[in-house]
Order: sequence, then structure tokens, then C-alpha cells
Amino acid sequence: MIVLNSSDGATFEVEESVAVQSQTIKHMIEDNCADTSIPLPNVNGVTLARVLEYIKKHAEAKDDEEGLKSFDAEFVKVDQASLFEIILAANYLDIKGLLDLTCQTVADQIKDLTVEEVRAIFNIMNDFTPEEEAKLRNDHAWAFE
Amino acid sequence: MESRAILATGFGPRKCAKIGQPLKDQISRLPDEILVYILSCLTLKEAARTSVLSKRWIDLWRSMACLDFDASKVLKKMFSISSWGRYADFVRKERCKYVEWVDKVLLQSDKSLALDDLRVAFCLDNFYGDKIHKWLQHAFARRVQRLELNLFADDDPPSSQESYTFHYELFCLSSGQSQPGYSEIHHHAQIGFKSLRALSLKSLNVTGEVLEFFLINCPFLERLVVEASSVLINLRVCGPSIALKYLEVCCCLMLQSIIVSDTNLVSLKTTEAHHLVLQNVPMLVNVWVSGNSRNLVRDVTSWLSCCLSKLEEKGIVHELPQLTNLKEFVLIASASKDHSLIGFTSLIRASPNLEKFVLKLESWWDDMVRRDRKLKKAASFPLQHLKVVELLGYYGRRSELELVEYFLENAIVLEKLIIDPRDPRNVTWPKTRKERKQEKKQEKLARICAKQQIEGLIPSHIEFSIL
Repeated sequence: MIVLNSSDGATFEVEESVAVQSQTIKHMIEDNCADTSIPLPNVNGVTLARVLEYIKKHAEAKDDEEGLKSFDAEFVKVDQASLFEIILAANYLDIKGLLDLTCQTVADQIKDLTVEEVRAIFNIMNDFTPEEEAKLRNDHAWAFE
Repeated sequence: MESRAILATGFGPRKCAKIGQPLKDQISRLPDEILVYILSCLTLKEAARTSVLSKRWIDLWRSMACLDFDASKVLKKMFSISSWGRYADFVRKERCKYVEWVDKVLLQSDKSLALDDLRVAFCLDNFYGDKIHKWLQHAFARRVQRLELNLFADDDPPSSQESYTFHYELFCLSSGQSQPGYSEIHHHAQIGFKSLRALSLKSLNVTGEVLEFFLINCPFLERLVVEASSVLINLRVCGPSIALKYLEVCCCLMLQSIIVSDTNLVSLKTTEAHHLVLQNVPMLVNVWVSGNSRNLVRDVTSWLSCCLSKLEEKGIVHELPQLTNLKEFVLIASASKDHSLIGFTSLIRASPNLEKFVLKLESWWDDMVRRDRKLKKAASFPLQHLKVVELLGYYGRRSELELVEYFLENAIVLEKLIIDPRDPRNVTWPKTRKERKQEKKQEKLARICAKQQIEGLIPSHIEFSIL
């Protein structure tokens, strides 16, 4: 069993065979940095719990394609802030499947919206002047057809 | 036109407790690499639109490692124009737009940034040769790993004078020495092309010599696809140093020989099986062949017999050399009238580890005959691994029923039997209403035949479906 410490002091136990889905953890174990526990200062407790939920499910139901698909679909139904926390954690922990899943989810949101709508749902501030924006849109006219 | 969509409930703009203050921009907290990763899940146009979101986003899309210049909507529209005058105008206009698009995005991109994927797919001919050459040079300078160039010929078959000709000499000097006067990008391209892992060239002129050059000089080249090159005459894929795992050669009508020997090829797909010679390809697992010959079984067995040396098992010499790694076999036959196909079973017997067999029958409706004749049988031989059998283009002939019975008798671990009466050919020309109606009628009849002939024979543990 491997012990993981989140940034806010929570501890989690997980089987080594499951934990190595994270390339970061895998390398730490291989480099013998994991005698007592592995500190993860970049991931808070709530997010780490979610990430562990993901890797546990993907370890136990490895061959059940349909089951994993529906699990993944439900897994990403979280609020924006949590989703980004999971993305950052998946990136730090180097868990490709989770990173792919979460980034695809965000991409799917951007895909069907206009620029204004994307700004709205992600609270992106438009720091262009109207002239600057118009020029950019003109330069990339092919993208706006 | 930018499309509109209903916002998902989890993502609506929300105000926090302090009234009038919107929540922070969370997405911009993510580092550049992650934002670029998200953008690479979008199409090129969708990603480029994000450049207008805010100053942070202006150039993020330019770091995308995959460039797919996809104009499939335009192409679809183009191929559906019936009036020649309108078609010519449309093509002319759209070609200019497409070339401008690729120029703008590709040639202005950062040359030092590695490129994973480049796909250019539009009907362009040699008139744009210089442009295409610049794009390729740029792609190789950026160490492109997967390159697809599909130039959809206007004519069918394409006339070789007008098609773009792939000259590797222009950017890969075989002497390996750079000469003064050649631009820096040329120099980078000479080194960069060796990063190729997958190369797909369709509807342009590329000779066997050029392909062999890439096979020998690209140590990571695992996937090679060539389609519709009328100057491809001979191709040799030989030698253990070649990294190739997947080879596809289709619709090269002037082809005279393909020789694949002493390599670790895993998958092979070709429509020129009658020119294929296979020798010592022990890793071959997937074979997809179609050939144009009157006596397909004989031709196929002749190249099969060049594979692996004969095996002797308990003193019994098998009639065909064993293809021990063959797991999936798709066979396309235009079997006319009601000629028996039972001869193919000798091929199946020669593949002891075969797991999936697909037979595509591409016969014309008026060349198929249903008559009542005695079913031919093949020698009994347990097929230890065959789990899935698909018969596409099922018509209800005795020749087809013979095969079904053969599999039911001999495939002792059979799990799925799929009968599909639909024509397996992907025809590109639009069918008239009358033709479609005729087709539907034939399919319905074939389904009824299949049901009557086969349903009663299937044991309950086998999944049987008529599509």
C-alpha cells in the first residue's frame, strides 16, 4: 500500500498497482522516495480523493469498456473550478487517461460556442479594444466562416 | 457561421456573494501547455477562433502540434455539384482559398516548433506544385511525425501529367551535404524528414524509388499508405532494418510488383494482391487483400506459399504453409453466378490462430444466381480460435450457404455470425431513386433468404445477426 499526503494534510492509502497509473508516483516509487509516504504539495485533499476514485475505477474495471465510458461521463459532471483542479492534478501526477478525459470535456464546451459565449462561461475578460479585436478577426477570417 | 448551443448547467456564469462581481477567470490559471492540449482536441478553425478570447489566448493555438487542414464540408459540396460550369467555378475559387489558408497558417508558424501531425487534403494538382513543395519542406523542417497528403484527383483514373509529383530530391539531398545557396529551411528539412513515423500519400505521383528512399532513411517510419499513384510500378519492402509495421497500397493501376520480404510487417492492405509477393514475414497478423483476377484462390495461395516454410506436424504435411500469426482475414471476392467458394476454406485451415474471418462479396445483382444445387463440403478441420465470421453482401446463394455450414461445423469456438445483405462496396456516385429502391428490394429478399436458410441451423450459444 502507498500513502499519499495532500497539500492540506489529508492522507490517503492506495494499492501500489493502482497508484502507478500516475507516472509521477511511479517514478517516485522507483527512485525510492516513497518509504513512508508520498507528499503531494500541489494537490488538495478534495481533488486527490476524486483522482483516486478515477484511478481505482480504471484499475478494477479495466476491461469493461462500456462501464468505464459511463463512469467517465458521470465523473466529469462537476463544477468548473473542480474540473480545472482535476486537470491540474492529472497534469502534475501525469495520468494520461484522466488528462485526456478532462481536457476533452473542456474542449467539448468550447467547441459549439461563439467567442462571446466562451468568454461568458469561463469569465474571460476581453482586454482587446474593438479595433484590435476586429483586426484579429479579419486576419483569421478563415476561422470564422 | 458560429453555431450556438445551450450552455451546460454546470458552467453558467455565476456571481459570488459580493453582488455584481463575477467569478474569477479560472481557465486562465491553467498553464500554457494545458491550454494548448485542450485546443488540440478542437478542429483547426475552432482553435484559431480562441485567439480572439483575450490577449492571453492570441497565439496559444499556434502551438498546436497537430494541423489538420480539413475542408471536407467544402469537398462534399463540390462533389455534389452537377452542372459542370458551376463546378469549375466553385473548384477554382475554393482551391485558391484552401491554398491561401494553408500558406497563412503553415508558413507563418514557428519553424522551430515540432509538428506531430500534418494533414493536407484537397483536390490540388501540379499547378500548385511549388506551394505544395514549400509546405512539405516546412513540415519536414518542423520534424513532422505523421504526414498525410491527399490530393483527390479530378479525373478517375488521375492523369499522371497533371497530378502533383513528389520529388524527394528537392528537399532531401542524397549526398547528405548542404550546399551554399540553399535556404536554412532546406537544411532543416533534410534532417527533419527522418522523424517521420507515418506517411500517407493519396492521389499524387510517387514512385517506388521515392517510397523506398523513405523506408530506408526514416528509422521510425511504421506506417505507409499509398493510394492512386499511377507512377508506382514496383515497390520493394525488404530488410529487417525497416521499421514498417503497417503497409497499404491501393488503386495503383500501373503497379507491376510489390515484394515484401524479411520484414517485421504486422498489417498489410492492398487491392493489388495479384502482384504481391510475400516472403518471410513472420509478424504478419492482419491481412486485407483484394485482387483483380479470374482465379483468385490460386493467386492468393501462390503468394501465401512464399510465406513461412512448411511445417510438419506428426508426420502430416499440411497442404499449405501455416500462417501462424494470422488473426484476422478479410477476403473480397466478386463471385459470379453461383460458383462455389468452398476452395477458400483451405486458406482458413492454413491459419490455425485465425480469430476473425470476413468475406465481402462484391458481385453485381444481375450476376448472382440462386438455384437449388447440392451443397459442397470441405474436409472437416477444427478451427480452434475462430470466433467471428462475417459475410457481407449475402445474397442467399448455395455458395454462401455452403460456407455458413462449413463454419458452423468446424469453428468450434465460434461466438458471432454476422450476415449482412447490403452491398459492401462504398460507391461514391449518387444512386438514382430507382436504383436505391431496387437495392432495398434485393436486400429485403436476401434477408428473408438468410433467415430461412440459416436461422434454424444456429445453436443458441452463437450470436447470430442479420443486418
